[in-house]
Amino acid sequence: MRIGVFVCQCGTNIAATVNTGEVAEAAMAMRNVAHAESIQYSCSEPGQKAIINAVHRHGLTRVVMAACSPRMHETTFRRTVNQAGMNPFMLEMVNIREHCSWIHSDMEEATLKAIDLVRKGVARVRDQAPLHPDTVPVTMGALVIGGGVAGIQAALDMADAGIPVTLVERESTIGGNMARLDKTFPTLDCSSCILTPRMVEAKQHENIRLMVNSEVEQVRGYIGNFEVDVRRKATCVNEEKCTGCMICEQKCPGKAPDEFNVDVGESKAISVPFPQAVPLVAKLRKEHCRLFIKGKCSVCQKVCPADAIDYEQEDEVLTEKFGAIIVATGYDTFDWKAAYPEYGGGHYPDVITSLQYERMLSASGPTGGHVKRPSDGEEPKNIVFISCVGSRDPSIGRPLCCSVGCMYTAKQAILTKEHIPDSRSYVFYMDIRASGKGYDEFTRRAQEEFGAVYLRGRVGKIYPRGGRLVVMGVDTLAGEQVEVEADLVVLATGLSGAGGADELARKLNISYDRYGFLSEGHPKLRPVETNTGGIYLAGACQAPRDIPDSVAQASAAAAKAAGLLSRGELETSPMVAEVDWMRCTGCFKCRDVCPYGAIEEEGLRDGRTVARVIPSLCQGCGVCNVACPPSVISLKGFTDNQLIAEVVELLR
Amino acid sequence: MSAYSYFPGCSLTSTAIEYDTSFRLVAEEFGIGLDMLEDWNCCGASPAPHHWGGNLGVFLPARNLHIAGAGHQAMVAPCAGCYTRHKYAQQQLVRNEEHRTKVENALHEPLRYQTRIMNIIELFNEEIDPEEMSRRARSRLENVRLGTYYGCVLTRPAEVLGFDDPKDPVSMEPLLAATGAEIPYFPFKTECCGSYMGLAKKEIVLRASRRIIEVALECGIDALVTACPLCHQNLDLRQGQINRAFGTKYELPVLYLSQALGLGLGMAPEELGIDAHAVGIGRVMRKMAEAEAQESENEARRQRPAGAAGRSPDKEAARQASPAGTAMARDGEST
Ligand SMILES: Cc1cc2nc3c(=O)[nH]c(=O)nc-3n(C[C@H](O)[C@H](O)[C@H](O)COP(=O)(O)OP(=O)(O)OC[C@H]3O[C@@H](n4cnc5c(N)ncnc54)[C@H](O)[C@@H]3O)c2cc1C
Repeated sequence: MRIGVFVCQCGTNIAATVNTGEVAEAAMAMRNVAHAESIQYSCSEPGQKAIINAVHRHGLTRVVMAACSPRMHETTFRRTVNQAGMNPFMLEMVNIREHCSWIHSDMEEATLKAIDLVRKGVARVRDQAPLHPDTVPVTMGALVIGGGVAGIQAALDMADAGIPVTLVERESTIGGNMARLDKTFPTLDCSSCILTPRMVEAKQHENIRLMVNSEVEQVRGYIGNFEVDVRRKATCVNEEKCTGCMICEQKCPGKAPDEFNVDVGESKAISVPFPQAVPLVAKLRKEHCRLFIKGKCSVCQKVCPADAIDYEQEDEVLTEKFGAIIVATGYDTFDWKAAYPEYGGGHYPDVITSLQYERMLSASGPTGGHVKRPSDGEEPKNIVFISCVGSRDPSIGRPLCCSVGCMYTAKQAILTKEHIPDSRSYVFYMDIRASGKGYDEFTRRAQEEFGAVYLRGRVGKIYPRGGRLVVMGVDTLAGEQVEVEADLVVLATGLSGAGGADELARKLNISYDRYGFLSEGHPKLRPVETNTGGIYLAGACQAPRDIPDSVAQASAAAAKAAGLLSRGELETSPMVAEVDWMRCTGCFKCRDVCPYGAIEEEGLRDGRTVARVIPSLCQGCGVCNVACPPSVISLKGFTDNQLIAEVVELLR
Repeated sequence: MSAYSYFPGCSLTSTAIEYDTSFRLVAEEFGIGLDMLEDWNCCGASPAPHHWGGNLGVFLPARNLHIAGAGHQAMVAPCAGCYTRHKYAQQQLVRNEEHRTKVENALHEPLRYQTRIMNIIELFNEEIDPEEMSRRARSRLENVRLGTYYGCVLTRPAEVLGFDDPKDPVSMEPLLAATGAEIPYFPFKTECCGSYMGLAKKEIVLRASRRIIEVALECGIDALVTACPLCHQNLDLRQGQINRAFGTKYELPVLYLSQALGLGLGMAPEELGIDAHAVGIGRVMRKMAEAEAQESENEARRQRPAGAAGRSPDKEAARQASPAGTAMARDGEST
C-alpha cells in the first residue's frame, strides 16, 4: 500500500495560516505514506498534473488530499486520481481550509491541527476499498411547482425541448403575482399583454399538463427518479365541463373576500379570479358558500348551463414519477399591519399596499382602472408613497431589501400622473436602488418628467385630519421634518417567500431562510440548483426579484433540468449501506429507521429472512448502521473500522 | 390584601395632588394597601442623571429602593417619570457593583435594591379584575370615548422598562373598557408632548401638545387618559396657552387613569380632584348623564309589565345629546 499526501496551499487561503511544507514533511513520516508534497493550487491544471505524475512516479495506490471541503472539490480530485488510473474512491479529502486555516489565526497551532487531520485521513484511507457506482435510468419528465411567470417560463422552455412537464399551481389560475400588475417597469408594457399569451401557450402546449388547485403532498425518491403525490383540491366545479361563462358568479348570493384583487373590491363564494384566467374555470370556496355554511342554496348548480357544479366533488391524489423538479413558488407581500402601528396598523382605509394599488391602476381591475380612495370612492389628488415598509428595517427583524420596491414605486408614481393629470405624488425613500438596465433612467423620469416629489427619509407617523391623512416624516436632505397631506397613502411592502414555502421545502428536503425564501446550492456558482440533486429554483421563491430576473432564472433552471434529463441514466453513489447477511438476525430495526424505504426482506435458502439494502434507494445516511443491534450493516466508504481508525489517530 | 410601598414623588404631592387623591381612592375601593414610603427623596427627575458623571440619577433612587425594600416586595410609583428613573437606577445597580458599593458606603448597610418597581397600570392590572371593575362600574362611562395616552417614558426605553409594546401600548385598555368606555383608535398615544421643554423652549411643547389634542379631537375622543403628571401638565394646564398661541378653541379634558376609573366607579369629579384641572369635563359628564338616564329607563322598563313601553329612550338620549354634538368646543364651564 502506497499512500500519497498532497497538501494544498490554496494560494494564501491555507498557506497564510498553515505551514503546508511542514504538514507534508510530517506526513512523510506516517505509516504507508510513500510520497507527500505541498502544491500551490491543486485544483488548477498544473496542480492536477502534478498529482497524476506523482501517482505514476511513486506507484501510489491511495491519495489523501489535504485541501478544502469535500463539498467544494471532492468530485474534482476523484476525477484526477481516476485519470491517473486509480479507482476514484481511493481518495480521501481532509479539510484544512474551512475546518482549519479559515478559522484559526495562530500558525503554529493551525499547522499542528492540520497534521492531526492529515494523520486521521491517512488512517482512514488505509482501510478504503475500491467502489463502483451503479447506474439508474432517469425518468423523462419534469415537475414545475408554482405557475407564476417563472414557473410558466420554465415549463415552456422544457416543453419546447420535448420534455413532458406537469405544472402544479395551487390557485385556480396560473399567472401568479404578475397577473395582478398593471404595467411593468422599466418599459411600461402592459403586464397582461405580455403574460396572458404565455399562460395560454402553457395550457395549450402538448407537452404540458396543467394542474390547478393542486399542491404537492409528498415527495419520495431522489434525483432522476422522484415519486410525487399531488393533491388536487375539490372545487365543486368540474374543470372539463366549466366554460368560464361566469353566470354562477353573477348569481351567487354569497359574498367572499377577493384574493386575486387583494381585497380591493369583493368577490363571490363561487368565482373566476379574473376574466383572463387560465384555465378559465370557476371555483367554489366552501368556507363562504351558503350551502356549506347554512345548508341551503344551490343557485350556482341551478344556473350553470354546462352542468359543471358538483357539490360532492372530492380531493384527488395523483402519483407520478419525475426526473427533475423546478420550484417556482414566488413570493407573498409582507403583512405590515402588526409591525407598523405608526402607519395606522390597518385602521385607515386610505392606507393601502402597492399590490392593492396595482389592482386599482389595472384597467381590468375591480375599479376599472380608476383610482379611488377606499374610504369614499373619491379620486385622490395627493398620493404619498412610502418605500421600504418591512424592508431594510432591522427594528422589526427584516433587514433585507425587497429589490423591486424602488422600481415599482417609481412606476406607480408615473402611472398615477397618467391616470390623474392634476395629481401630485410624493415618494418617501431611503435610497433609490435602480441598478438594472434602463432602471435609473426610469426613476429619473418619474421625478423629472412626471413631477414626483422624492423626499429622502422615513415616515414616523400617519394621522387623520379633516378626512385626509397627514403623513409626518423627515426630509434628511433638507434636514427638516415634513408633513404632507395625503388623500391616499401607498405602502411599498416588502417581500417574503410564498406562504407554505417552508413546508414545501421540508417535503423536498431543501433549505430555506427565515423569510421563507428557498436556498440556492451556492450563491455564485450554483444559483438555480438546490442542495438536493435534481431540484432547481426559479424566480422570486429564491429571493426577491423582478420579472426579467425571474424569467432568466427560470430559463436557467429549465436548462439545468433538461441537461439532467437528457443524460438518460445517472450514476448512483456507491457509498451505500451493505448488510452482512451471514450475521444478520432479521430484526429489521434498520427498516424502521430508514428514511428512504431502502431496506427490503430477503429470504435465504436456509430459511432465514434477512435485510437487504436496495442500492438505488439508499442515500448513505448511515442511520441503519447505528440502529443495527449486532452491528452487521456497514456503509461503504464509512466502515466502522475506518471511523475507529480516525478516532484512534486523533486521540493519539 | 397585598400591601405596596407607595412612592408619590414630587408631582403627586404638589402639582398633581389630584393624581394622588384619585389613586388612593381607587386603590382603597379595591382593597389595595398602600404604605407611603417613609422619608423618601427625589427620584432625580431630569437633572440628576446629568450630575456626578451621570450617577446621581442612580444614587438617589437607590436610597428609595433601599427603604422600600425593608418592608415590601414591591414599590409603586404612579408618576411615569419616577417609575422610569427607579427602573433605570435598578438596572444600573444590578449591573454595576461599584455603584452598589458607593451607595452602601453612604448608607452603612447592605443595599436592598431588588424591590420590584411598578407603575400604576401594572399595579391596577394585577390587582383589579376587569370583570369586578365592570360589575362595579355598571357601564357608567358607556359611549364616552377615552383616548389612551401613554406618552414616552412609560414604555421607553423598552430594554430598561420591559413594559408593554413601546410602539403600540395597550395595557390601559382592559380596565378602562371595563367601565363601559369606548377606546377608539388613537394614533398619537405615544407621541411626545414636549416634555420638560416647557421651561426652556415653550413653543416646542405648545406645538407638540397641540398636535396631540388636534388628533384626539379628530378621532372623536371625549377625554384623554394619561398616567404621567408632566404629560398632564402640558396637555391640560397649557391648553389655554395653546389656544392663545394658535387661535384654537380646544376644550379637551385630560384625566389621570385613576380619575377615569374613579368616574367609572361612580365617584364624584370633585372627590377625584378633577375640578382642579384647567379644562372641565363637561363632555364626559353629559355622556355619563345620558348613560345613566338610559340605565334607569331600562331599569324602569324591566320592572314595568311587558308591552307598556314608555317614551323611546333612544329619542330621549338623542335629544339630550344633540347640543353636545354641535358645540363641543364650548362645554368647559358646564361641570
Ligand atoms: C407591487 C408590485 C409591483 C411589481 N411590479 C413589477 C414590475 O413592474 N416589473 C417587474 O419586473 N417586476 C415587478 N414586480 C415583481 C414581480 O411581481 C415578480 O418579479 C414576479 O411576479 C415573480 O414571478 P414568480 O413566478 O417568481 O412568482 P409569483 O408571481 O409569486 O408566482 C408564484 C406562483 O406560485 C404559486 N404557488 C405558491 N406556492 C405554491 C405551492 N406551494 N404549490 C403550488 N403553487 C404555489 C402561486 O400561487 C403563484 O401562482 C412587482 C412586485 C410587486 C409586489
